[in-house]
Amino acid sequence: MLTNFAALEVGQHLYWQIGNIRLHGQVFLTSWILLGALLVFISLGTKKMENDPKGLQNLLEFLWDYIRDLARTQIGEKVYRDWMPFIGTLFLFIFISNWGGALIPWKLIKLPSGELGAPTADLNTTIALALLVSLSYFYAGLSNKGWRYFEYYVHPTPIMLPFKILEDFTKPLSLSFRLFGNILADELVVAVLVFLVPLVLPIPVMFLGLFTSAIQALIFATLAAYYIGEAVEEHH
Amino acid sequence: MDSITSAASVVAAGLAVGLGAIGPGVGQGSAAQGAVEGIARQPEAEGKIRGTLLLSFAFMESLTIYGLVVALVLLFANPFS
Amino acid sequence: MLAFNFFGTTEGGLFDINATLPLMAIQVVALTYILNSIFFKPIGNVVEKREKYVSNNIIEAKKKLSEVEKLEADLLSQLQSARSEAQRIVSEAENESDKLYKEALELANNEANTSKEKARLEIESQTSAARDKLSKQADDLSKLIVNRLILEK
Repeated sequence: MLTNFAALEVGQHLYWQIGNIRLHGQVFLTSWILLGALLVFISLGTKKMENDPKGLQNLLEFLWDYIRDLARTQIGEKVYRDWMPFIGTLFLFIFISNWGGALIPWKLIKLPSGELGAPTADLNTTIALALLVSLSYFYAGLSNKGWRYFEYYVHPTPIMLPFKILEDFTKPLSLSFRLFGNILADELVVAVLVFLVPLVLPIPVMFLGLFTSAIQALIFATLAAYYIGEAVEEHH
Repeated sequence: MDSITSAASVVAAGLAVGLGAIGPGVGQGSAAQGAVEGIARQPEAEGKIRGTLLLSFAFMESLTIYGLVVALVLLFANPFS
Repeated sequence: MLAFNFFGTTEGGLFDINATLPLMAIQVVALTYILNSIFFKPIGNVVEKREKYVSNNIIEAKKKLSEVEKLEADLLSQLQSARSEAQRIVSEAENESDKLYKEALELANNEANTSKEKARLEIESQTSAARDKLSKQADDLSKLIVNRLILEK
């Protein structure tokens, strides 16, 4: 049975060599397809904007409102406008990556090595996203409060200093590994179940996977917004 | 890789996921209990409670995921092979 | 144990981190700018314009509502005063008619009393006259009887 686990092709990549740098081609291929679909969808929805929203525009406005609420509750009334596009992009990117990876039968497309799948099931993608979140909360804190941002590290007492510094490392670590682990685990569980019982049984697990994927996108965006909000919050 | 190392890796991977699931499982249970009690007491605050609950679930869940990541390292990227 | 084949190779593996990471970060940043210009800004403009429009309309409607309420209160007070005026007129008329009625009653009573008195007086005088006449006739009759008796003797 273990021999068949090889069919999962865990950790195999389609390598692209450009100069002396190597890329995971399957990640970029999937993300370009999904992002292209997203951009087409959005430009169709915003092509003819009306005051009375109809069809796609309605859906996009709902999405916009949802993201605004998320950003506003976590970041606060004052600066949420600046960060809303970033939070929204994180949410949309992770959401379409997760769902696109789960819903589209990528296995039908044969690659010379590796296989297409959710871009968020690759550690590079999640670490990139998590590092962007780290950079943005530092930038948000420094640009809003200047050097006073570092008061945050000694906020209740200076004893907190080592823990707060440690937190700066654990935040991206947990963000990236949470997303990566969840999406990879979903893919693995579905693949193993399909391998063991190819009919019917994987379907509820697939639905559970879809639910988890959506929740993970929401959690990533919420946590990113929360970290930014924490950085710009004024202490008294 | 010799068979002792592979056997130990597989057992350790199982333990990492299994033991790692205990704590967050208990924690999520008590968090859900608190949330349900809160909703029963104040049904109008359900939306807020659900958001906070999901967020804290995510934090607990990530502990299990760390166990899973260790298991995956042992199974698919074993440093001792 | 084929599952463990992957880490035998020099490349690949689950935790293989390479130039995909920075390129993905650049791609996400670019996506942020693209989405900001084609999604967040236009939709935000439309939604906020509508929200402003709706809130303006609400403010206007509230102003109108308060105007209507003021008018209503005005009319209500006018109605109130008209009603009390009517009340006053009605009670005045009632008093007047009461007074008139009483006056008429008194007048009638007086008249009846005087005519009763007059009739009583007349009856009395006629009674006394009749009595006088009767007693005179009785006297005459007795005289006649006496004369006759005397004459017969």
